[in-house]
Amino acid sequence: MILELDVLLFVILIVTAVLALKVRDLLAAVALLAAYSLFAALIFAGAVAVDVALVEAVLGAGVTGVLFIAAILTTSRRADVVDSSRRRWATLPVLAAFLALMIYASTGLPDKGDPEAPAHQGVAPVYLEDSLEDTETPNVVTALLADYRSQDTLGETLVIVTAALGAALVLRAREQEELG
Amino acid sequence: MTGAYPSEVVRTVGGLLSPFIAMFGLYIIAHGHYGPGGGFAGGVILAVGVILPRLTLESRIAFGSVPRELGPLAAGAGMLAFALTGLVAVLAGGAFLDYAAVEVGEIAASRLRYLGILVVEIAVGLAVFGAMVLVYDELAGSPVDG
Amino acid sequence: MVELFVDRYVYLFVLVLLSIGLYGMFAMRNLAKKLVGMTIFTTAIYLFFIEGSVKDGATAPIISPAVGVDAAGYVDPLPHLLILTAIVVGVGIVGVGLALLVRIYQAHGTLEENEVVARLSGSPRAGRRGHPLDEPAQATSAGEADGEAGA
Repeated sequence: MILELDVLLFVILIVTAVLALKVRDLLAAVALLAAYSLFAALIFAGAVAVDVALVEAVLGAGVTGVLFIAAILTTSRRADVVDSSRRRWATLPVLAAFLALMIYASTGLPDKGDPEAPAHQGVAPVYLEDSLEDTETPNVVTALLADYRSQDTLGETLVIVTAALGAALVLRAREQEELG
Repeated sequence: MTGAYPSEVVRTVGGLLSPFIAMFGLYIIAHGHYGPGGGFAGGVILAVGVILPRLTLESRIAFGSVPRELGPLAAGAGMLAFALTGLVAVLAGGAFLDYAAVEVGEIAASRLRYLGILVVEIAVGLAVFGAMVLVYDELAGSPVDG
Repeated sequence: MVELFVDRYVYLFVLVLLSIGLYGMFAMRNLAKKLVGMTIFTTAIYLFFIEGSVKDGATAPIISPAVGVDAAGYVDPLPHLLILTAIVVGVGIVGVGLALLVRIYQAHGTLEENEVVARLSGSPRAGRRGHPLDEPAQATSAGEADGEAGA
């Protein structure tokens, strides 16, 4: 958890995010989005969140990029040059209000890495101490996911399957029209 | 987007790497107890091992080994397996998804929960694999070559 | 001042990323750019949560014999669980969003929001703006144009 590396990665993230929105070629925007997800995965790895880094690297930098490219290659490849300056100036007050609210809220949040933070009290130490004895599983996140909090995982699996089915149904409706 | 990639290098590398990627996905699912990974990461890597042939190889090979229908089938099967695991616990007298309630011989309660976690991880991996392959197949459309 | 930065730099960077994502969702006209903005926003939220789970000097939440079962030696596993779920659901959202994108393009021939809104609100234009694979001569008759558009 090296401070300079963390700050450098965050700066790279910001640059990549800004560029992903600025470029007009949509494939370049998708490539930048995949790079953004990869650097986020590096930050996760630096914060010793190993499961999350693995999943973010594969899903964010891999699968999301492939799905975007599949969709863009069947639609248009460039974003038109539109003079949206009025829309831009209208967005800035909203963003300023959002930022002000968030900065005010963040003053109540704990410092980074504080072991006395309220989030680390409560049930998390109980899970860490008891999970090996209760489930013989060294990986605490897996034990939480599949045993202590398995109903959340059931709901989430249902969500991902339903989302995939919904996407399939939206696209197949077109083929029905073509067939008559 | 689907169909044989024009470059021979890409076709060869895609064909060589895909089984290893799929095997790595299975490894991550199976070793979810001891290291990072588990059902979600393993299921997605398994899906990548199936999507890569669809991107690089001929449709006959790519859709011959893993046909289109396997996506929704795997998603439904994984979902069903997860729900059934929970119902088995209810039928044995415990709460929904309480693996320790199923009394099998003299296996300790912690071992039962270990096995329950393994079954659930495999079910989740299957469901996520099916969902990813389904979404990719629908977005990519029909193949552009024979 | 430097201490304040070291303690709270995460919130600063995450807020900047959230603002960039929100800007992308509000101000960009292209629908695919809006999805890009949404992905930037959700990934910034994941970063916020995971950085909130870090403890000084702690290691990954995999019980190892070297550290024992002392809860202070491991980072908080609950945010990891939550974000694992959120990442997969986020990909599901992107999948549905892209399916809708493709459908909108097939119906209207464009991905620019103002043009789609204009067509939906019924501004009279000559027939349907055809799919790029349509032959130009058949663009005026919508029934045959449907048959021409391929995947």
